[in-house]
Amino acid sequence: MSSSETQVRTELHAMYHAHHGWLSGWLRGRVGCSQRAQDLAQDTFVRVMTHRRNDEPLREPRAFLTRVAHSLMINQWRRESIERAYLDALAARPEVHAPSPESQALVLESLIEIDRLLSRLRPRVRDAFLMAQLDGLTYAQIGEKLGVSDRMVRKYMAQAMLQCLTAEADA
Amino acid sequence: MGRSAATLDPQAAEQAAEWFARLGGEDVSDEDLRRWLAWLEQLPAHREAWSRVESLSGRLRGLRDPASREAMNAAGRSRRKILQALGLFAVSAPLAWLASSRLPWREWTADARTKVGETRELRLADGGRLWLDTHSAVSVDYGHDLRRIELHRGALLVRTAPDPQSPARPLVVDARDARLRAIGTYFSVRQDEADSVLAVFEGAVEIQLRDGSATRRIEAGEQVRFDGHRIGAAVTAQPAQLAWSRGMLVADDQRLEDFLRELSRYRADPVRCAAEVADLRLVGAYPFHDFERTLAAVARALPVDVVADADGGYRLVPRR
Repeated sequence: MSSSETQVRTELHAMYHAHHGWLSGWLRGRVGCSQRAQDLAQDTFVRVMTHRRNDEPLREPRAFLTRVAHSLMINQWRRESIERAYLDALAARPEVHAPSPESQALVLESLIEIDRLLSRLRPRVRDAFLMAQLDGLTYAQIGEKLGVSDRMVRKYMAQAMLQCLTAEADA
Repeated sequence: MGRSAATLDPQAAEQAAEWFARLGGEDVSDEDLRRWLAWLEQLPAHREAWSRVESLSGRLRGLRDPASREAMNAAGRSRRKILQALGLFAVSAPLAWLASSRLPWREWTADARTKVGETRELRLADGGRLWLDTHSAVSVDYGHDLRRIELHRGALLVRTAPDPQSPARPLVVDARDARLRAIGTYFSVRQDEADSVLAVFEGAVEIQLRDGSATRRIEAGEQVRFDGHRIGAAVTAQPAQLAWSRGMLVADDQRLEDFLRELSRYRADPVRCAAEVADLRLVGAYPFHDFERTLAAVARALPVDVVADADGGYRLVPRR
């Protein structure tokens, strides 16, 4: 372990002691459930620990922690909203077509992952990308729906794919 | 936590995304295709970036059911609401992605097979790469003095790597009718019912028929047909023998009937055509995993209509 890594670790320890209680309280106020707030606080520190490599000491640790906690909260909500929408949609269909629980779980993981990869795209670009990839529409058909040229649709496709590749590599 | 140990080169990623967008369009020309293949061949970073594009498109294809589509719509709506409420963008969360299309070789011997419609890329123990085409099966056996790949069925493409062991063991592909010895190389073999095709893209391959009646050296850029008794004359290696490993079926002025026979290799149900249109000529690159898009593209390129048959198959008929 290099000296800078040791330094980061020491700093994280100090941050945990100084802010963990405070962060749990802050989260409790937002999610309204103390067990869930505890879990989120824990996840936040794990996240900070695995992702922070910078030598610079944090000047405003609480602002940083709340930013990370916020994003975890949003991801959890989105995870839940995808799960709910997927299960609702399955429930609305005849049972004979229902996939097995195992394949449902795989599809859900996949949905959440793809949604995460697409999460930074502009809504328009995301829509265009999904129309091509999930609905199998041609660029011309997508262009017509969105009121843009085929060329623009092609640009959207490239943007969306690049964003996915980058987001996946960063994970 | 990335799915591959290799890093993603930002410039290669950008170009791969551009190619993805271009090849997904309706007007892919022969020239586009040649340039894309040349780009792929240019650098390992390009191939790495492209394999990620393919893995992503594969996962997206797995979500083409109404329930998944609805869930993605709902996610989009709720996302917009949350962002509006909070006025910030989410930081992406780390999520282990397990369902990778690549299987690492656990040992020095392995068997691998693909189902109809499936293609797969495998990493060999020496760092080389092996691609399996639809409905194919191989055994890999890296032994004491030979690196041996046995092709039981279908087609493979292999990019060899130098043997880490010294002295270096030869790498051979044992096909039904011949043994192919790699000489620092990149080549494909496809075994059909009557005969087989060997296409060499880099280096050279020495082909020796099983019965010992003929041996010949095939150089980069050449392609030959062979069966149990003879090796045919060398012709120019066809991009089609390579393009399948990237999910593309290439028609280079091909008869429609021949193209559909190729396409049907990737499907449980055949695609046929009426005799009146069988001789129409087709040019272009078609993503065979995306069957609907491929059929639609063919119907745009030629004066044909697509008809669904009662048995689940499809038929192309003259356009009315």
